[in-house]
Amino acid sequence: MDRRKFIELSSWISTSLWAPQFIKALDLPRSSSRSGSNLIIIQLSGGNDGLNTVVPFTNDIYYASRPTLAIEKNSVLKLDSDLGLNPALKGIKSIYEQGQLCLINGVGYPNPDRSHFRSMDIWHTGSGSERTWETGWIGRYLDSMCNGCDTPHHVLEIGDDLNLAMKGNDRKGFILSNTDTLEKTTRSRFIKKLAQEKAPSPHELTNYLYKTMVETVSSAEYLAEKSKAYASPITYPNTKFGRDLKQVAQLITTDAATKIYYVSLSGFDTHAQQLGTQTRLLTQYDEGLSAFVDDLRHHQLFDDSLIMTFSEFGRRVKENGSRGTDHGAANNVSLICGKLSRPGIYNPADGLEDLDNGDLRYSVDFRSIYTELLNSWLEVDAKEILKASYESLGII
Amino acid sequence: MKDFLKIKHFLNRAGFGMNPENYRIFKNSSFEQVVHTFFEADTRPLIYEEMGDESHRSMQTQEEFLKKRKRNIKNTAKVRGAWIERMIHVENPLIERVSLFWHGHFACRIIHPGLATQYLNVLRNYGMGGFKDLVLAMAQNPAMIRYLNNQQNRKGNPNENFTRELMELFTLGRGNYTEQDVKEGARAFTGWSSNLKGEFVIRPFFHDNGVKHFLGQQGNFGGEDIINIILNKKECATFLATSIFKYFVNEDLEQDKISSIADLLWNNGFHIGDTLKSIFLSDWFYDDVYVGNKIKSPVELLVGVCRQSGTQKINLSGLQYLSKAMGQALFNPPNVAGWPGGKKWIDNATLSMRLNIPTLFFNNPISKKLNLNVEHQLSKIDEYILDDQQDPLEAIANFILNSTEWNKNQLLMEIINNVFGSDQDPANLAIGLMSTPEYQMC
Repeated sequence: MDRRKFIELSSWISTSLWAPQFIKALDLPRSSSRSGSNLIIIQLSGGNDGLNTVVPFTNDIYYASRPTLAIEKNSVLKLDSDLGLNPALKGIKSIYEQGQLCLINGVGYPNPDRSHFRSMDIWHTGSGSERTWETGWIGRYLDSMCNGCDTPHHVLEIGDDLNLAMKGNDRKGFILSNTDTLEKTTRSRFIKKLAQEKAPSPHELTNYLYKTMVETVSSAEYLAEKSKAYASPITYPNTKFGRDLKQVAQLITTDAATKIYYVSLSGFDTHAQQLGTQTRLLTQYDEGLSAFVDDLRHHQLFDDSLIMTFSEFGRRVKENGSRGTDHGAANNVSLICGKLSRPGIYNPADGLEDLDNGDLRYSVDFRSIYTELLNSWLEVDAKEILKASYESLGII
Repeated sequence: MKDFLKIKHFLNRAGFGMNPENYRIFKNSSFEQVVHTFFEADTRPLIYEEMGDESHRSMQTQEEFLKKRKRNIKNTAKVRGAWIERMIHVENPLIERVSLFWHGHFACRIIHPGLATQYLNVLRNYGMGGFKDLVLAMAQNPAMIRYLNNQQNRKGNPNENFTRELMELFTLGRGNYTEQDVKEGARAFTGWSSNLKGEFVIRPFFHDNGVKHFLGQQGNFGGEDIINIILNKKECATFLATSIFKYFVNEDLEQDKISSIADLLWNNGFHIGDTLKSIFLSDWFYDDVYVGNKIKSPVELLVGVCRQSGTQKINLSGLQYLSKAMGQALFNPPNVAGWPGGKKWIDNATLSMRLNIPTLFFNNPISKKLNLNVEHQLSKIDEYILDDQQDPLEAIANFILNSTEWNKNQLLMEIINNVFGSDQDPANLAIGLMSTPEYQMC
């Protein structure tokens, strides 16, 4: 086929809005007043080794269990008399010292599952290990008709495939790798035609597809416009994670109508040769996050931005035969914000004396953290969204 | 074409859509004839993939293990590719479509090529016969046993995972059994395991030989007995009927239709082939309300595009990449509940990808990531399907799209006429139509 003709064709096809009359182009808020707080979730995929992230540097069992992997006492960035950070986390240490980090130890759930897929699903859905749920906790937040929840990009994931966490029954989060790419694939030539289309489809699902398409194009235009207005003196590291966080910053600082951002960093499944890999990844994490926090500070938005970092499970206490660790259970979670009610170390770390078959036991159910975020930060009814009550933690 | 709309609908639901060859062959057939033709099944095993003998596994080092795992994943992709290729090329895809249904029903994640082939062949060989035989074959399938941890189900130390999913997701549905039934049922399946040669074995030392109380009956039940008891419950027929209705007819469940399908199953000994044939021969199946009302799954969409365009050759890895990106990686369902389907296929990224599939296929873009290298016959599309009497636009749109009312979408009509009307190129028209939201429906 004639290539030139086809290029013309594809610009029509991938961008045109062939929408029934009753779907109008969305009226998205363009006001300049601050819309409120933001929640940023950072997912470390693969099961980050918590014990080498938050190191119990006075614990003999730790050193005895990890002859090649344990972090040397002198290298640890000390937080208090017993716990310190992996040496790669200099930026995080600084945030801690400024009272803007809350570290929660022993986060998990009953009957931990050590499969990546299952455990990640459990964290994404809040189901617990006995059940399989098909909607994510953030998806159900969207379904709950919260204020602004009907904006297509109210929840935004930076990535390629929308995670289960963001899929509700009726609503879903919006996914993009960056606003440039998104805009290129959705450049509209027919937006004016939208309002003129007279005949809707007889099938509800076809209309749903049109609606999604319209929203995608509208959101794409809007988000690209916002991104372009970004101005900042901060330099981000030239890593994918750095670029992803920069994209988030571009939208937060220009007040895009997005409430929740979701970013992932993968590669933490360190069954062999753990030290090099984890150091590299934690460095990427630390440098990216530090730049992001600096950017928020510069724009005076750090008090209104809450960053949660988690992983789907921790790893076993004892190292394996390949200088690595295998899948474990409980792990630590960090909450970072300019203003926290209870910064510092929330609860004591596991003493490692009473392990669950070689794994850390949980003392905080991760759904308590979600409860805190939903009730106190997002101001919605956590019980309805999580389908159960969990103790609040009083951190926010 | 005589029974055009009905044949097209049948081919959409029982196969992967109508291709130009179908049009040529079935031009003067009645839809009943086409249905009957399709039920003359082809159950050749897919391909023979060496199972391999993993007996020496415990002596491997971690590095050897990881290397072998990587190779297995790569070769499983080949099995996946072979299945997709068969879906594209086989004249009668009924078995493949039904197997795809069963793969979603008996969802299983497999990363070994021998186990993948074995699992797939079980679905293909048992999938059109008696449901009881299929359930038993699945309960004894090594891939399924491992996926649902029945290897660890031992006397005195039961693992309920397989039994629970058997009852909740495969046969009865929640509310039709108690937790105690799950516990007792699990005891009957103790010792049902597989060896490192990929063979089903019952390990007698691990099998619980005591009396079990299951769904109101008692006895020293083994796994087969449990399955027999389950299949003697009308609820099982209703559950299966619901699954069949949802996949082949409509996402919105209708109790009266489901009831009659359940009765069919109950009365014909749960014979799947006969039940499906009966549905496809029923007039109500061809009601407007059921035509073009389902969102195609990624595999249906991709295979459908290949078949409709007469694609002879395509890069199977590229196809798998797209399928996975749209949310459906064969042998890798998101969880044991399979793929939820319907609206759940669609988010802003997957929809954009779907609408761009024809561009990716037929524009031969030079892409580092994705070179599909499609060899197709779109330029001949008019040779196959245009009658003298017909308006070319109408003929091609009727062939490509499944909605009965596409011509009422005026904007669509305008664009078609403006962009394609000028040069009257049927291939362009076909590609354009395949890039619409309407094309996602079947």
